[in-house]
Amino acid sequence: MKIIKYKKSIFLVLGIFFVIFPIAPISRQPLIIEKPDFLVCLIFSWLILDHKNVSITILISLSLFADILWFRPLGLWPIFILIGSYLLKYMKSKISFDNFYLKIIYFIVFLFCIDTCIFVTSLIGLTEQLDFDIWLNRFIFTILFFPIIFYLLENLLFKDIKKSNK
Amino acid sequence: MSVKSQRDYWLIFRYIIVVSAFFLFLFLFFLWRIDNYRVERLRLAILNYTIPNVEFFTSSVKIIGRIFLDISSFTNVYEQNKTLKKELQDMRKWREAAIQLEQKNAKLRALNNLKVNSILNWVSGEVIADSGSPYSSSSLINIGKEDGIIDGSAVVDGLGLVGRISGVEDRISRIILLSDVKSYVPAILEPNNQEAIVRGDNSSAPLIDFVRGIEKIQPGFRVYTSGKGGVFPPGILIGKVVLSADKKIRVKLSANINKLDYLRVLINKKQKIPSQVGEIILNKFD
Repeated sequence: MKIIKYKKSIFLVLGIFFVIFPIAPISRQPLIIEKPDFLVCLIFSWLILDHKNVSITILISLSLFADILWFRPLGLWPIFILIGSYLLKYMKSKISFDNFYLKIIYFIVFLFCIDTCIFVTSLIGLTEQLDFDIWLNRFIFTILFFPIIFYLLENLLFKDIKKSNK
Repeated sequence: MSVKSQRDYWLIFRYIIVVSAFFLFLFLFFLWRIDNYRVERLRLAILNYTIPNVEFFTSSVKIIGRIFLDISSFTNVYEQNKTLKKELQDMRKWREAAIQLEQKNAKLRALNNLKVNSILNWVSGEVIADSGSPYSSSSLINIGKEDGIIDGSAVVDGLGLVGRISGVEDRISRIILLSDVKSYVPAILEPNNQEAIVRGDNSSAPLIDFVRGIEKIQPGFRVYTSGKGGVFPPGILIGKVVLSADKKIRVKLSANINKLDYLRVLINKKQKIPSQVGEIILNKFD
């Protein structure tokens, strides 16, 4: 129980770090390098690695915190993260996620579904439409960064689960 | 009560919480959509307490990031040096010309006993946070109500217009950059004096829209604020006209919005920002 609480608090700290990190005013070059969505990578990694002990409250709180800090439409991302997390938890109990490439494919599907839902809200005029180049840039960079975050999380925080799976 | 039924009750309770959370966020989203002004003020009030507390972290990330950027710029240091030397030579000539013009200007003002309008004041501040996502092109600056910042004030860096203030709290203010999709700036194109709107589209070179006689516009024309609408003071340099690869007329901004550090907020004490739709038109007819 203590280990679960410890993991949750570490995850919360990591989540806050990934929310605050992109707002550091280093450089804004929108069409060259787009900041990846580290938070989605972190959320998906946790859902894949330890779906039984995932705290949905922490996930949606972090999404809401990101909405506030990143000037995103308030409440939109938490809705999709909530739905996505429950779907993924359900899927995890039915489908095997052992293959690494399969994890990346599922992550691409997960991210694409969230982005499509956001795109639909922009199509009906509820949010502003994002430029395609910017979206693509961010999408690709997020996918590229996912294996790094997953690997770090698996080897630093979820070593015990990795061992038990073996 | 058996353990199984207890677990069932717990599951039902959890589902109720999840569904409530879903509707709560849906309500929050629609509230943001309908009453954007108030919700944005609430957001800024939260940021007013959050950002100064995490500034130690963002500033250290900024320093480390800038070091990496500087290292990467070492690769073309030789060419940069050559260009800078050439530019410096040109600037020396311009400096002499500017000093002479300044002296001439002062003499003429003294001869005419001219009183310069001093309603425009400024306060300088440092950029402490970026928007963090591509959905908004804005920044946070470390000056607010306590420093006399007014909502809607124009923001410039040393070279040209950067954007305007949209939301002020005690210690921070939000700047909507010219590249933001919500940014519309009434402008004038020199030397033809053509009126236009500079519209942001999340790219670093905003579009030129609503312009009459588009065929007369040529790359290199200078774009200034026209002062129409009463939000921006007239005559602030925005940038130069360029033709983009997608054959659209855009403005290459004079301000370096990719690397914002210290900015100047121009405060017009007599400025009145329209709070309702169509207020500018109504005022004109009154």
